[in-house]
Amino acid sequence: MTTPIIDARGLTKRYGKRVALEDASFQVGPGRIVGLIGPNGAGKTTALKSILGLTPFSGELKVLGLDPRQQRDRLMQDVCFIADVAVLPKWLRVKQALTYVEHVHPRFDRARAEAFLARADLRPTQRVRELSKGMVTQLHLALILAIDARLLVLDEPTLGLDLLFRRAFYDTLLNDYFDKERTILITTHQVEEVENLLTDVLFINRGKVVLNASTEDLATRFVQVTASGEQASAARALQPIYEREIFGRVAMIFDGRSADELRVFGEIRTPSVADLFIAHMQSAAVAS
Amino acid sequence: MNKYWILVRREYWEHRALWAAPLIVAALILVGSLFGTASFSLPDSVDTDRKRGLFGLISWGLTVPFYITMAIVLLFYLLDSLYAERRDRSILFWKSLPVSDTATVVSKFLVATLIAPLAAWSLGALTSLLSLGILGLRSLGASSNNSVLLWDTGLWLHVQGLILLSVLVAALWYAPIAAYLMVVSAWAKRSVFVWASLPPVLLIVTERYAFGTGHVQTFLRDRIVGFAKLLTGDASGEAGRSIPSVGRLFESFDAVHFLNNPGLWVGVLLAVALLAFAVRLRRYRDDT
Repeated sequence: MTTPIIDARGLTKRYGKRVALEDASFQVGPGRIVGLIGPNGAGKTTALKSILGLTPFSGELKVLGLDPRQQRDRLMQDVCFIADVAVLPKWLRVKQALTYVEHVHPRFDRARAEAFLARADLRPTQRVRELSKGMVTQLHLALILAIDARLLVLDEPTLGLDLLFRRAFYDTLLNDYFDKERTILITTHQVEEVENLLTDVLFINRGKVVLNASTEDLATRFVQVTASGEQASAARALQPIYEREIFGRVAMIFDGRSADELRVFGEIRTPSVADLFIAHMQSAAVAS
Repeated sequence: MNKYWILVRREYWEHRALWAAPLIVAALILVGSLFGTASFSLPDSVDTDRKRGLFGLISWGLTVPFYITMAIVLLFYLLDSLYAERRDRSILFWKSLPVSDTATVVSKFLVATLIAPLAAWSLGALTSLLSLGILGLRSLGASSNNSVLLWDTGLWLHVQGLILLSVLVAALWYAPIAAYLMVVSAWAKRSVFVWASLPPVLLIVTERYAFGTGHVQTFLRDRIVGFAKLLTGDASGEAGRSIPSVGRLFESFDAVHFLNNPGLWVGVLLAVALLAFAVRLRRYRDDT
């Protein structure tokens, strides 16, 4: 891996007695689309806030080589984020939003933002309070995607949006924005929605990183076998990390076993990110 | 420079009262000058010297409604300055752009202490000019032996100059109050007005019951209404209760005396400390 965009070592954050992040270490390289995935309260948002310099923390963290605690103002030149799409102020007009960002951000391309907006049905004089939630998202997205940033952080970007809009959001992100120079970090708990666009996954649970792998690695590392009866029992001897029953058959997920080794027990396939997520969350629950 | 100017424009976009209130005052004064009933004749005993005094008084008096209005508008503006963005949850949008907390806090402070008052001064001077012109034209039409009409450009400029000086002096004098309101605005989770009033009220009541004295009350009263006393260098006068006559105010206005007041500089230092505290509060203020 070349110089990481994000380099976290021993990231720890406590709110009183509650531990939000405990000794979390991970790296994110350039040109990756990383899914930071975990159940509610796992520490996703805390991790993002630490990366964006919005909250104090202990441990070592470098984002684009900068310390978000000390150099936040410098960092924001190269980092963009959408915390929750509906947070544009109600009084802001579409043209004011463009003018403001144009003046404060040296890497904002107004023509590009206007091109995005042209696809949406937005008039320059409209205020945010007059727009539907989907339109506000389009405005916010147009502003952020017109900024030439090295790291884009999206925290539950599609929360509360309908399916059509969510699909359009990710299509725009992938087709019009992403390139080899840019890195995108997405948190969501709707894993199915993002799994096809991720290059890496970072599972986080109870403040700890439980899996950090590229999606290619996932395909070689994890195998799911669906078996029944004696074959299921035989497969179980190879210590699956997770199993569940479906229509009388047992689906088991193995870590680090080859497909050839497992094919004898039953039908095999590559587990989805969603399956792996559930497997890791449940095995963590059993372990504790 | 462009970047800082946009921060000021942002404030005027959000807080429309900043420009709407003085414009309404100007409109009311002009409408009053056009259609108000007025007597333009004076008793013969009123000589030119006293008419000059009257002219000065009117030139000054026409601008007073602007400052009363702006005091009220700015009180609420300051209380809202760092609270509104947390209430409407837009703070993370603002923080996603490369504008430092310091730049944000200082821009809002300067709007309240300097930019809005200077705008009020310009509009006040213009309104005074227009209104006097209208009244002058109307008095021409009125038949009278001893017309109130008198135009004295030198005196008008002198009066407006003194008002401008007072505006600049007031910026320094009221700086700690403005900064205090911003700290409360950055800190309070709700009911900003109540939180801003609580500490002074508690201090005054506690002092009264504990020691039977009223030093805090006197101190605050001197700071809030003792401004005229400071301007005129009237050490013995009860400036808070009796506003000195305009003629005396003009004559006794003493900038040197004002700048020699140690209380002023203590206040300015306090304002700087409070602003630094407000910046710190906004840095990690996290309600989302």
